[in-house]
Amino acid sequence: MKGLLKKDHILLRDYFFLFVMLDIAISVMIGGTLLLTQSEKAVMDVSRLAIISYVLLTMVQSLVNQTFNDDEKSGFLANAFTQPVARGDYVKAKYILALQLTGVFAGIHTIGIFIGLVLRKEPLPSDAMMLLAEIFIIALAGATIISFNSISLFMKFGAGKKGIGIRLIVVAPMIITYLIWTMNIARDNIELNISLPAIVTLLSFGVSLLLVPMSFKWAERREF
Amino acid sequence: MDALEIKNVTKKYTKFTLDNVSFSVPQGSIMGLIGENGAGKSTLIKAVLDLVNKDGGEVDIYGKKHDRNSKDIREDVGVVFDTLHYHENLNPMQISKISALTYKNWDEKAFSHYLEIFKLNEKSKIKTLSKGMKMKLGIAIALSHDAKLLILDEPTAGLDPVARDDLLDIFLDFMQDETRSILISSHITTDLEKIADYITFIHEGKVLLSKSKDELLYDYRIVRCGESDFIELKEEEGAVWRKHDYQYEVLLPTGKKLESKYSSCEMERPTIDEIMLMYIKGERS
Repeated sequence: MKGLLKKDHILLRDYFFLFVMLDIAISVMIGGTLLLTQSEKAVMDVSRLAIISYVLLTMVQSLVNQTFNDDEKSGFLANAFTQPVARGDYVKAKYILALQLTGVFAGIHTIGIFIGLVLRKEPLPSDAMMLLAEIFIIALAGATIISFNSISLFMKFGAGKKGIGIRLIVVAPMIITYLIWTMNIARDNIELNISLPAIVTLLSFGVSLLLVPMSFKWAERREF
Repeated sequence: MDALEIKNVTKKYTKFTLDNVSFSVPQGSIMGLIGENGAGKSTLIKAVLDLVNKDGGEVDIYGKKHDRNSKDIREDVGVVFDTLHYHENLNPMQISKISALTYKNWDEKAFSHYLEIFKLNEKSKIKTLSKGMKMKLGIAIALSHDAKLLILDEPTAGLDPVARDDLLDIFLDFMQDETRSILISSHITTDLEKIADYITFIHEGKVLLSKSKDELLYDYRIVRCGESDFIELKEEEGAVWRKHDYQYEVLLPTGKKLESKYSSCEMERPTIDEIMLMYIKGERS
């Protein structure tokens, strides 16, 4: 499993640094907004930036998908399972990769937000802090769920057109919800809509949890 | 002890069935797997490696049952496919780092040694390598984790004669240690004539024969004769024949013993290619 992760790290290295730079830029913007906007309105500004970071996180998770496509196209999958690698090791390595990517990016965001909040002259009211936390948890969970679902569905349907189509159908409700959410945030109407993405995220989380054990079963049954 | 024992392996597809395939590769020997395109060689290798879901049968490697969770057994197996199944953007040095984390017995020095012998630059990306170089890299990987059994699926396909000869020398060198064994599939039968100890011939998903190469080359005979001799020849055990314009060509598995009986006929030792052609295109009683 370590070898599989090493392979993905090597292959994603160039993209990874590009995304890290983008993430640092967004985190600086978020931290800066929290620092410089000395009113509760800072949360609304940060929320809009959170949408950008959600999009970025989704793109980062697409790197995991990229590794599937590369593994299948190059024939690496068949090759890997002639080595001392169990099918389950491959699936575990992909989940770990998804979590590692999410962790790095969430970490950079957290540092940005933390610095912004600590250096702020007026502390944010607790309800604004709560809203900020909810937005980030939903964005983070959403992106992670998308990648988790992709891992499961890849193991069942592969990286071909069918696989891509099914993956899009499964993640579509989340993407549409977040788009609606984005539009409402833009109208400063966030209080009304925070429940919608939260519910969709929770439901998707449930589906993702069900799909995790299935991904191991599907990997066992796949032919190469 | 057999290095590899294939017992009644069956794999059914809609239009093709690998049907109850059984044979074994004795330790210290090279088994050549022959057959025309689509005969089932690659499917069999995939079934042996458990890359497809078998409908029946078992595979033992060095006496242990092999399935998709037999990680320990796969430490001892090196596999080379007809193309190098690694990402094109990786280079040999990176593959070595990955393999060191995959194989318990990965030997970086041995890998560097093979790269040197094969004149492969450790920093050249796979996409910049020729077909022959890619195959050599695949073999270097397979040989650098102290594999005892090599499973090679058409490793010489698409290579020029010099590159093919280089690879065959490498396989023979690998066999210097008598505990090692090779299963090699190829439709280039001349390659197998050079290195194989045993030949298994697969046709339409079934094993037609599995014998020592010497038995095939020294016991089998091809007889070219007229119709009067043919009537008698076709009754011999295992006879296979083809009719040409003015003569018959008959393959006799026990031909060596029958040389004196048919001294009036033109008898020749067949090549593996000729044996394969006779079984594919010929008729049997």
